[in-house]
Amino acid sequence: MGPTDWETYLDAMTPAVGLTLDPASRAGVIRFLGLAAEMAARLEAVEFAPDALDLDATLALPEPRR
Amino acid sequence: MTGALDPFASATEIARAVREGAVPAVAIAEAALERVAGRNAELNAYTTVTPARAMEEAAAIDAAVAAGRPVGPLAGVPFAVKNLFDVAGLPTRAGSRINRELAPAAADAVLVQRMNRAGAVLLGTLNMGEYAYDFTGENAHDGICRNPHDPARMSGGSSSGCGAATAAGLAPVSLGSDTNGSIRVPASLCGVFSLKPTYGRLPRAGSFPFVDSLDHLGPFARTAEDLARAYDALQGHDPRDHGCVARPPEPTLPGLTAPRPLRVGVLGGWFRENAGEEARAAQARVAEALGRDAEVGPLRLDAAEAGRAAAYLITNSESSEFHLPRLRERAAEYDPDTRDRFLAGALLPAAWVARARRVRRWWLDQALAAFARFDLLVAPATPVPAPAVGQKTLELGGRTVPLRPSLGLLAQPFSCVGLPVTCVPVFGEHRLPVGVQIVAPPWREDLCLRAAHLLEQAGVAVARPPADAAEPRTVATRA
Repeated sequence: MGPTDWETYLDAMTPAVGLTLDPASRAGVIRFLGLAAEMAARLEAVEFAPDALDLDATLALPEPRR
Repeated sequence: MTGALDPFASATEIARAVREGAVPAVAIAEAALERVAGRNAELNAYTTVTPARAMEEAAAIDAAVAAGRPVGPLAGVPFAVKNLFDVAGLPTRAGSRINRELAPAAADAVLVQRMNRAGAVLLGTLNMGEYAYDFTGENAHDGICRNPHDPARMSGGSSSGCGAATAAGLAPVSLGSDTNGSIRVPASLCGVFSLKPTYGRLPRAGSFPFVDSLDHLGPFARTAEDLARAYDALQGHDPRDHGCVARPPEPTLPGLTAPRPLRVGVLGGWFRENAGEEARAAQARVAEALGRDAEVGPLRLDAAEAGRAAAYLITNSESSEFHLPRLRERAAEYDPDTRDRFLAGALLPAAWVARARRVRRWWLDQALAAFARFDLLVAPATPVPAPAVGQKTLELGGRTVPLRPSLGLLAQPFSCVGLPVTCVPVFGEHRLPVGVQIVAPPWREDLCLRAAHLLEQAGVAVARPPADAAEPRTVATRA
C-alpha cells in the first residue's frame, strides 16, 4: 500500500474508531502506518505449515530444565 | 568517611554496614539525598524526590538495628523507581502530562513494598519516556534525562532515570520496566547491570501498564551481586497481577558463584548485522571471557527478525487500544511523537496483529530449540553506545535507519517471548559503555545472573563510575 492509499485508509478508519485527527498528526501517523506495514510484510514472509500452529494469543512458558 | 557512604558503594556494602551498626541508615539516606540535590539538575534523572519518607524509613531501620531486631538484606540501601510505579501520595505520572491529574496513589506498588520490606529506603521517582513508548530518554514534559558518562548523550529509555541515577551514584538500586527493551537499553547506554526477568515472574500490581502481554518489571544495579540481591527481594507471586505466575521464589544469590560448566551460544545473523563495531567488540569480549570456563559456539537465530516485527505490531496495537479513551479526548496533551505512534496503532488491520501473535509463538519455539544446545545466549543489547541527544538516525552496516525504533531492535526479540535477560556493562577503549545481553531459558534468571557475576569477576563487565566521579572500583566485596 503506497502513501496515497494510506491517506484514504486514514480518512476511512479514523472515525470508525472514534478518533479525530489533528492535521498536524497526519504525516506522522502515515509514517508510522508505513513502518507497521513493513513489519507486517516481514511477518508474512514467515512460512508456516498449514496445520503446524494454532493461533496463540497467550504466552505459555515451559518449566525450567535443571 | 566509610565505604558505605561512598557515592558508588554497592548495596551489599551498604546493607552490611547498616546491619552491623557501622553506619546509620539515616547517614546513608542523607548522603544520597545530598548527591541527588547536587547532580539532578544536570542529569534530570529524578522527577520527584521524597526526602521526608526516606528519612523516616531510614530512621526505622536504625531503630530496628538498635533494638536488635532483624533487618532485611537491603537494610538502609537507597533505591528509586521509574515513575510508573505507584508510590503512596504521588500521582503515577508514567512520564506523561495527562496522568499528573490522577489522584495520588493510595498505596505503594507491590515491588516498592517488597523493597521496603527488605529494608531498602525509597529516595523518589525517576524520569521515563512518555507512557514507556521510548528508547531515547527524551521526555517532552519532564525534559531530557542525560547520560552521566556524557550529558550531551542519551540515557536511553524508557527507564531513562533508572539508567542515569544508577550510573551516576544517585541510587545503588532502581526499579524499571521493560516491554521491548526499556530495562536493557538504558542499562546499555549508561553502563550498569540490569535484569529483565521471565515474563510473569515479578508482579506488576501497582504499576501503570504499557502492553500487558509484554510488560516486565525488574532491577538495575551497579554490581551483579546487588542485582541478584534486589531480584531475590522482589520475587514472589501476587494474585493482583493476572500475568504473574504462581511460582515460589527461587533465590539466586546463594548460587551466584556456583561452579557449573555453561554452554554459551554467540548470536550472529540479525544480532551481528544490526550491531555497530563497538557493540560487536563488546559481545566478542563477553564471549571470550565466558569461553574460559564454558563451551562457546556460534549461533544464528534468523527468526529473531520476525520476532522483532511481531513485538512492534503487538506493542503498537495493544498499547493503542489501552490509550484509546485518552487519544479520543486529550490527544493534544501527548508528546507528538508518542501520540502519532499510538494513533497509528489504533488503526492497524486486525489480521496483522493476529499474525504477529502467531509469529510470536513460532519465534518462541525457535528460541527454545536453541536452549537444547546452549545454556545461555549472548548478544549486544543496543546497536551502538549512547547517541547524541537529539540524534534522529543511526548508521548501521552502511544503512541509515531511524534511531528511535532502532535502538531496541536487538532487545525486542527476547522480551517478545518473555525470556530472562541480564544486561552487563562493557567499556571499550572509549569512555562510553555498551551493554551485552545474557539470555537464559524461561525461569532461569539464576543462569544469566551467574554469568553476569562471572564477567564482573573477570573484569570484563564493570559498572565504572563516570569519568568525573571517583576512581573505578572493579569488583564488589561479598558480604
